[in-house]
Amino acid sequence: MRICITSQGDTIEAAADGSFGRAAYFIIWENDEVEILPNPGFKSDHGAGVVASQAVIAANADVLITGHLGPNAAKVLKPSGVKVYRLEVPAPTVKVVYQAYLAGELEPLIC
Amino acid sequence: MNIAVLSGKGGTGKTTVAVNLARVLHCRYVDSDVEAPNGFLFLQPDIQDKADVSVQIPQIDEQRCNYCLACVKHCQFNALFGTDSSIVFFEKLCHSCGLCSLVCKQNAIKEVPRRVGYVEFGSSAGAECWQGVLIPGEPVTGPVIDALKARLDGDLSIIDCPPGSSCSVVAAADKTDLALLVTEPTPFGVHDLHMAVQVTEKLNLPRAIIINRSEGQDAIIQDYANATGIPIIGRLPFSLEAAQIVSRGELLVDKEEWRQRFQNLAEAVRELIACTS
Repeated sequence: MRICITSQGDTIEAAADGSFGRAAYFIIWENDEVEILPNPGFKSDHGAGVVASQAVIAANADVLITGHLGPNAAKVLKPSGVKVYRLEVPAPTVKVVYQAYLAGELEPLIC
Repeated sequence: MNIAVLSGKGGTGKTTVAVNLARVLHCRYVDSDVEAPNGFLFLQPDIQDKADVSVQIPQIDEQRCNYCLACVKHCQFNALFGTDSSIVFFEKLCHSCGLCSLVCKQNAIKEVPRRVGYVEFGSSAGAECWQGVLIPGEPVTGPVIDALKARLDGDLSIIDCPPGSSCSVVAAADKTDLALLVTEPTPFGVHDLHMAVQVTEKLNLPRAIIINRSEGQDAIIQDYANATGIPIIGRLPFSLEAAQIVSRGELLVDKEEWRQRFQNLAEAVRELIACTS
């Protein structure tokens, strides 16, 4: 299982980011391995949600944890099979969000 | 000769100046504020011709597509999304550049038209009146503005531009011959006037300032004009009567004292035209 969390910084101690398309980084956990991926949507002039979704799919994420999905991202992620969970903002660190996910404390994101 | 009327700030009186000036100059009026055209409310032209404006968008033949995603990777506007079994196209993000169809090795992408607005051509009091209308919800104004400008033929035309200083304003004011900057003597007025000045500088346009709603205390604009060397060619007074006339959708120049003011302005514009051509 690859778990992707939107993050404001490039470490697991950074605050998770409530926005999806404009989040600075995607932090991907696979068991104990952590991968840091800059979000191409962060500095994109147009279609941040679309290009961010493309990156999440390319990274083979099974789960996405973020605060909110825009309509374009929702349109492509819904049929993709990626399960999306909601993080509350202001968000704790990525690590704390990941632990909350493992403990089954996160709700699915309705979009 | 095409004269752009712009302001930076919205609500300074661009349309009021443009329609009344066009009436006294007996010239063509072109409303290029395609997101909210309102000059026709005042000029009430008879519409003689109308044409749709379309942009080209990709149509993807999924029978031919092998999901190589070359189109997705090349799109600079992120208008395409793809997986190994599907392509999703976002028409409102597309800027009709055509690159996706060029890079598709499978010949799976055909360009097809999508209607985004229309242009109308009419006349009022013997002078031509044109306007462009963007369909509400459409994000890209350029194609509708370009459709208007493609018909310009050198006859004297007043081009009523959109507010702001973004792509729409550039599309409307580009390749005109003179910019009339309508402003008001407030800090907001001068701040946004400066943005309009910067745009017209990039476009290499001769410029002149018209101060609207001037109560005589307009040093804030006068100082700016002195500092930049842009001439002030007219002042229109702050007037309850003018507001009432405009709110009824009537032309100010139908009133004698206002007709005189706009004739003076027209005279100043004619002098500028003589200097620039």
